[in-house]
Amino acid sequence: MKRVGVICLIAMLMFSFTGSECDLEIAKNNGVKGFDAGYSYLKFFTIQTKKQECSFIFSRGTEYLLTTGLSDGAASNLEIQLFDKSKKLICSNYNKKKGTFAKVLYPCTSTGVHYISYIDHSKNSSVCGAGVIGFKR
Amino acid sequence: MNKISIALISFSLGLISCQGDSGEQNMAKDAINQEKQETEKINAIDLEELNSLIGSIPPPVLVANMISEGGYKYDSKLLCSVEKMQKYTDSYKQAFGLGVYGTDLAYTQVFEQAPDGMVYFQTVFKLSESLQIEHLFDKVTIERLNQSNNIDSLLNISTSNMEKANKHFIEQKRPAMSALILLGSWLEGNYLLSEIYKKNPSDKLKEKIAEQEVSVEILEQIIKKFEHDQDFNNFSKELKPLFENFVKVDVVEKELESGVKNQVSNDGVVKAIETTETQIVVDKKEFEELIKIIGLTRNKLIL
Repeated sequence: MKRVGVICLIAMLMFSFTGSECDLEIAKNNGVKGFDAGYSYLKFFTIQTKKQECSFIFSRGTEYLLTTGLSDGAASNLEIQLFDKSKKLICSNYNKKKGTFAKVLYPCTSTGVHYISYIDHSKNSSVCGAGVIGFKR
Repeated sequence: MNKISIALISFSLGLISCQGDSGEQNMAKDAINQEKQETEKINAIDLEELNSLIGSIPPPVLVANMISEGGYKYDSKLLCSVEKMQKYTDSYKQAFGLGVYGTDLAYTQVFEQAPDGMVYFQTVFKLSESLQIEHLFDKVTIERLNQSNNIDSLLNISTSNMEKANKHFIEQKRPAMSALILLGSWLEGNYLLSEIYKKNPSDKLKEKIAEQEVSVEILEQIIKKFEHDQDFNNFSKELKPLFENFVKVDVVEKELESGVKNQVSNDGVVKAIETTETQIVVDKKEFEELIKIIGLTRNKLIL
């Protein structure tokens, strides 16, 4: 009986430890904090690998804001690459000399599936972040 | 005599209990086999790919906001009656209903209709209880935000709740639930747009409805993953005529010759400038047919 109790305790500790390792909800909220006034939250993508690729349908006439956030609250240096449906690069917030800019404003003129890559340029081996999309209300 | 009776009774009871065991064992075996088959079917679905497809469809708040920004008046008669929820007795209908009511909730919130918002949130919450995901919905915070009309926070939390529901069902290997929430939500959004278009036809609304053709391509890929699921097919087969009508819409892309490049402002914002623009091409009669079929499909599926 004692042994079961100890195993349960270890399991709980392990669970709570891994749970606190990467809290994507915090990462998302940190990304939302980067929104300018007048923008509302739309969607977030998890970033747990050095390069994360995802897709999203953007709609002509809507102005989007793309930000990133990290779970530890540090300033995000994640690169956002936005591609059109032909996977042609529209924009990146990363500049080799100047580093990473905080956000991408995207007034969409072309409805369709777009692709987004989030790249972690830090020296850390792992990343816990969120790529957040907002829209202008 | 007594000994013989006792022996016979014992023997009979033994037989009955053996039969009972065997019957229960068979039932248990059937249940295990059924569960195994279901698991195998779910395992055959690439959940990561499915999650990615679902995640690429914009949430309903965007449609609701578009209606609000367009200057159209709030019309509660367009919303799905909350009484219909009583009829959603199985998990498939409940998941689909959750999507429908989730969109209606976003519509009430964008128009700052707190009393209706509360009614629709309660409906969403009841369905979440039926689907055993009520722990994902922060009832106290939503009720508080609803009273204070804090729209940005309210929209944020409502959109997040639906995201959490999707994530939960994918993690719990119940992907059909995620897909049905999406289908219900998407169809209701189209219904709202099309009903408003009927009363106030405009090129902008027409474009927003027709451009859903892009979503249809993805929704078809999602539906294909549940071909084996008869309960799921009961929903998806009703969407087929609607999808066929969307195929008649063309999204044409043309190059822009502005020569403007991406700009970086002083406050660290990169403004992305696209070099293409899309135009929606759809025949007038085919579009009218599309509007009609959106309404028919939605009204049939919410019954």
